[in-house]
Amino acid sequence: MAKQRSFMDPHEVPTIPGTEGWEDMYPYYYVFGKGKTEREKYESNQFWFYDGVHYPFPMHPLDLIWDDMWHLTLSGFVSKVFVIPNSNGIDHKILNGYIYLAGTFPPKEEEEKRVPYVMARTGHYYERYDELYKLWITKMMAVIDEMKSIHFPGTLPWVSDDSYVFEHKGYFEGDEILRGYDRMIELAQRAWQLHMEMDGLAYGGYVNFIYTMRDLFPGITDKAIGQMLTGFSGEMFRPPEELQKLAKSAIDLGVAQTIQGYDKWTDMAAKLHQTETGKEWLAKVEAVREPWFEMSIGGGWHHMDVAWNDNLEVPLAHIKNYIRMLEKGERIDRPSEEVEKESKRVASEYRSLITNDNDREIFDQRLGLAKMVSIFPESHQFYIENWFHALFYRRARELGQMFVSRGVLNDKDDIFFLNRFEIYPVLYDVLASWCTCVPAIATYEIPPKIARRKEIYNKFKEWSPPPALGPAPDVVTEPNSIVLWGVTTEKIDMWLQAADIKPEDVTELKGFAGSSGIVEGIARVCMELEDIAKLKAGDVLVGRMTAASWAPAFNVIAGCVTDIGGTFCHAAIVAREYKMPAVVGVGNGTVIIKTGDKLRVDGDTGVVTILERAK
Amino acid sequence: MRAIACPSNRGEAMATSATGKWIYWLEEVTKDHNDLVGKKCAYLGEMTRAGFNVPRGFALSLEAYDRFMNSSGALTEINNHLSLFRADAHDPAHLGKWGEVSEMVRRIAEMKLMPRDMQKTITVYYEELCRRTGIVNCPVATRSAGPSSHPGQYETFLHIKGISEVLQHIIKVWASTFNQRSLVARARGGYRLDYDPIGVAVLQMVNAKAAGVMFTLNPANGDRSKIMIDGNWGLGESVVSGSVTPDEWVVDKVVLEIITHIISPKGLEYIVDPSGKVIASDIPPERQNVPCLTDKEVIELARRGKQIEQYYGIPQDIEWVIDKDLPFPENIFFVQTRPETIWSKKEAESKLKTSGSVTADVVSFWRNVKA
Repeated sequence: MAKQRSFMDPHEVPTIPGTEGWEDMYPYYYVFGKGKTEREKYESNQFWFYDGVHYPFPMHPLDLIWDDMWHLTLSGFVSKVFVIPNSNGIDHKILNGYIYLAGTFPPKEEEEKRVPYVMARTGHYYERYDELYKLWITKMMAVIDEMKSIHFPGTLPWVSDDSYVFEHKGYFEGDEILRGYDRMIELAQRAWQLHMEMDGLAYGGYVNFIYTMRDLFPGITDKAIGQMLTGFSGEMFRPPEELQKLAKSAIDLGVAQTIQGYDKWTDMAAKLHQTETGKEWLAKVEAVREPWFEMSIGGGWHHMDVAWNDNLEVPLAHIKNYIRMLEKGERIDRPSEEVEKESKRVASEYRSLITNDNDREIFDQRLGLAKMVSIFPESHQFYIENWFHALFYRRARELGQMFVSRGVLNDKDDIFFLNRFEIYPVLYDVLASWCTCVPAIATYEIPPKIARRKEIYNKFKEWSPPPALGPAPDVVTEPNSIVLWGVTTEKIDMWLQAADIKPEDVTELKGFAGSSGIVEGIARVCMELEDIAKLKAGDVLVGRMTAASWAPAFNVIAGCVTDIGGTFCHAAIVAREYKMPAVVGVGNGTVIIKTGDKLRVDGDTGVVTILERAK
Repeated sequence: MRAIACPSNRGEAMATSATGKWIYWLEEVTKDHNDLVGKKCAYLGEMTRAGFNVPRGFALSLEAYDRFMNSSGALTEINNHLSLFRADAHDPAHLGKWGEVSEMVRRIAEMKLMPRDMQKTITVYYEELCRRTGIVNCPVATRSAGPSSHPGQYETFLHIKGISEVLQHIIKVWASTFNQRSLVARARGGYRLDYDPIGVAVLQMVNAKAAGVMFTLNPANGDRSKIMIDGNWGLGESVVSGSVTPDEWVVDKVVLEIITHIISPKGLEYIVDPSGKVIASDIPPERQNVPCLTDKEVIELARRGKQIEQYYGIPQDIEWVIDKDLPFPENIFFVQTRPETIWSKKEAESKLKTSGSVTADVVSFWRNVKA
């Protein structure tokens, strides 16, 4: 009998010493059971894979909200709304602070019963996708506008505001603040419902096209398929474009030199305010800040991923970099016309190689659908993961500030160490104690809890989450895992083998050929945004994954390697746009590769070679 | 062996269409000249004209065969022999008889002298070829070129040096129309046995580092988006004849990227020995597992293969050689191209299933996805 293909059982993964009791940080339903037999049976039989695509870091309790939102909404749109016959979506767990996912499936006999529903419902959407996408923007903007209208006072007043009395509202601040908190959680849910309203349909259209191409042209690379779908212009590409325009106009207005002299935005702005041209440039900035500076400085999944508007030093650094490149005569805008032209050429050449008329017709239909739906994956991220999340983090920090003012927290950011279910009672406690004019119980309970959680969190950061847990499936059949997380049968085999090799002995890493070309360069392992600033021209960026806001770095680097991701992950898409070699989904590049190592990145074969180790 | 579909009695037609000109520089002929100089010459001519890197050379037309066979007296003698010969082309037991008669008539042709005027003209062309290549006694290959595709049926001689050898080997190529397999094939098809005019290509030899074949589709499944390249060290004969397992690359035709490559241990290669003879030579162990092409060469071959296919409008079966001495990319030569015949003739089967609507397709795909 074949050897059992299995990763460690989730229940056997030891607790990291010094993190005992960590489970309290997260909702009870997120942690793997201990000693509860029925529940453990389900958990042990599932194949769980680590979601480094979204969470290359351990979870702060409040940041878990996004994962928990799509925990419900993705699965809901799959099994309840669009009633996909063979999938119930994705289950979520947390282990030592890291998120694990598992595909879930309905019983075989239920599939037929679901078919009429899925046909009618997805059909309805595909038939009017363009129109519904426009409507989607309106719905999403309503959520964003409402989120913008919510505010929490930094301190609670000695007596209630006049308006509550003289406008006979019948309630006071306490009501509004509690409602505001409820509402921001509700809006988070709504944003993520909207996210999934069109996401699955988009990926369905995408992946269907991928498999169509594989049927037509066995052995075709995902990269070649990706090229046919690339070259679109979703909202995600606007923020860097706006920075490029600002860099150009800084040069045109003669303020580039001044801008180069500053690292802090406020200092720079003060200086520019002294001249007419400086003011003119600042006015141009103001004109685009809403919404394009609502771009996250990271992926948006972590509360440190605030928007450019919250940390203007980040766009300033990008603008300065663009100015330098322009002054050297380099091209900074992405060669979108070339990319578009090449995309069309590739599609029309493959089309011309289809010899059967019927197949050609189906190809046209499916490429049409894939291109139509492709607008969504490249635009929703701006509205949700970037803009909406940034607004949420702002609101959360306002609450944090209020807690600080009541002696509940030492720092406003400490609020992220409380999960969303824990905040409500603290808030209630704070408001009630404000009313009764006694100290909040939270002032005794919360600070030691936060201190303990910080200790635990730091231990989590040092832990390397295994790529998978539980029994490995013989064949991966869950399309989301394949396309978005790069979890394929081949990948699982690799993970299984990699378990016994020492990192320093590895000289070659295999991943997906994300973007073609071969390049050699010095590695820079980038785990956080600060690392991005250290990139030098010609470096190879090595990261767990890349965030959308890292795009400006692609002007500097020569190649890109990521631990996580498939052919359609962000790094691969951006690298293709910038026509630079990328290998994605190598698994543990950030562990094996050290900053300073000399690498060869072969984006044609998906191989990264360590040519020389850093001294 | 399958019956060969040939046009009706070509010998008769030839006698009436004689033009007086029976030798051509490759660049003088085009793909429309199959019936004039044979397919291989026609294609090489067309390729030369289209700007693909083809060894320099000239072509002897079908009429040259006719001239030789008639004026040397070979045709009469051979006809006498064959008219008395009786054997069943479908009976394997008779293959021996076919072998014997083939030996006999081949020898008749090979013993004949080239008519003087033909000798003179070929000499002029050969000397001009030596001048053009800048090589004294330029080594050439004499290759058969039938008017319809009979891959591997006739013979080809490599590394022929000096005019007398060239003349002799041109005759040998003509005489190969009487080899056993050609005789049997003609007998089965009901064609004349004593006369089967073919063209001959006389081509500058490339100093082969590696050589092989390239299909501009995947011969395994007819996938038109792939280019398959098989190659070995040395001359291409080891690959064509199947005497080694070659290295194999599959390249995507659209994005020109290597999709798979299999490097096989290659035991022997055909090389030209110091005396100018082509010999099979053992490949030393340290070279056996070295790919015979660099990735750069593979991509460049595929790129040109794609151009050749685009030029002719249908998938091609191409023979290529990489020169030892010339720099990349001038070192890549093509010595033959012909239309791929198996898949190109097949009715294209549908590979996709549709459930009638895009929605139904997406749903049914979703239900069957695997990776």
